[in-house]
Amino acid sequence: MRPAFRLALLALPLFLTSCNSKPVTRYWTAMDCNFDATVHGPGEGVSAAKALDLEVAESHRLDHLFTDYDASSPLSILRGRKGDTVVVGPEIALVLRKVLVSMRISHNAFDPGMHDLKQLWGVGTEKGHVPPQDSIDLFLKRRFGFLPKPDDTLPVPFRVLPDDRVLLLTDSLPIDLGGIAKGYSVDRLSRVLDSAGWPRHLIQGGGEIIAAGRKRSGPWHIGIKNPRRNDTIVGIIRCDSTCAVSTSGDYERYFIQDGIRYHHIFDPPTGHPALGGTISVTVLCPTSLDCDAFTKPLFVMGPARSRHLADSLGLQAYWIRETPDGMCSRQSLGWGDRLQASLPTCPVDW
Amino acid sequence: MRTFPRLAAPADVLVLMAVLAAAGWSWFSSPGSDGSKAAVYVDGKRMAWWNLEGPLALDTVEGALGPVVVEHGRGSARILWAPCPHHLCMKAGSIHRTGAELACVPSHLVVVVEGTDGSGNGVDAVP
Repeated sequence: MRPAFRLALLALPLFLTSCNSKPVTRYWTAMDCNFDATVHGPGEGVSAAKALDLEVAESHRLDHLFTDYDASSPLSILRGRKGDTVVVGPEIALVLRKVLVSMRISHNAFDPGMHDLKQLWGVGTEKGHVPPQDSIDLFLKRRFGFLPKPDDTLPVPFRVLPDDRVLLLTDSLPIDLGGIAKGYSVDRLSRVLDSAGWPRHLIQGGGEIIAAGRKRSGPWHIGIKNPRRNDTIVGIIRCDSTCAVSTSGDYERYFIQDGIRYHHIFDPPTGHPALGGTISVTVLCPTSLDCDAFTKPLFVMGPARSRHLADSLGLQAYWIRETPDGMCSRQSLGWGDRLQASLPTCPVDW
Repeated sequence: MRTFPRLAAPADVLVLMAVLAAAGWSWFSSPGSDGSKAAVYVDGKRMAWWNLEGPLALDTVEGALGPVVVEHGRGSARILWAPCPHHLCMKAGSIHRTGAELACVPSHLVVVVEGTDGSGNGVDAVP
């Protein structure tokens, strides 16, 4: 046997073994949703199992940090009296700043003080129902101090001051960081895997995805769920390098009354779910926190207003609408060939 | 007439074929390569899995709040009953696409369809 061939033969099993280092996935629940994380080798630090252990532990820490159910959670300090200044940690302060950005640039399409309103409607529970308008108005007056009209600028519930201090501007208001906190958490979990030596990974939790690095086999492909047949997809997003993708849809939590689907994404000035025709919005961003800050506002605003916002911010967004003739879609600028979608384009007036 | 150097003897080719066959066996015999499966995880631990190509069947898996009933077979899986307060997972319907998930969050339980190639039919994830 020739030496070169012998060497190649000896090296072959090593090569094949490295090809066989399959991705490792962990599934678990935290923050009121399911999470999964997949690491792609080769890792450069701890084992894949240890890295994923760290991941789960970090998700439970973040769960405690952002939960609004536990009276002893760090977030509960925000339920103080109007005029109080409270100190929150740097992570909560960072998320609260992002909340204020989202509120202001979306012009009232997002509000973190909707916790009690969602409870009133019971969306996502066995008791989901349309509440009396009087009850909705009572909530809106308590939250905003008046009954808002469409063009009113809604008051922010707090200000974030230097040194992670927060000035409360509303009495005893439960702050719901739900979606945005998950975006921040997915970003954090990605950094945990980076630090553990697994820079090629995919994490998803509660509708947020971050795909980091690049797989050996090529780019990441993220599917867009069919809002009316959740087990099928209507589009694929290609990520050549690290990207975050977030989707908000009316199919996640809802109830149906008198033939109308009432979902969990609220239009703050009206106190009702946003029923403008949009049934799903998917956004591609550099970070999961950014995605989360804008996905729900882009859902509530509807394509005409939100396409302008998405284009001005350089966000790639994809809207799906339901019509009597079926589903159709619109997309923002800047997708290039990264989005392959199968739905027909909606009429220009939508 | 130009002649090319002979790279390997017939015996070398036989050795090469044996190595390739062993590698192939190693690949296809690894976990997850015997057809589409529904796997159930509780607190991150794999508690049960079933081949989805079989006939319809019911099984229970112990979640954090008690037993959860999973129906699996004929290419799909769904949660038939769970002791969760709002039964969201029961209303989520069935899953069949590789990578699709159902979650009973209060039970700390996730059902996942795991495919033969781990690729999710060309899609890595669906938010």
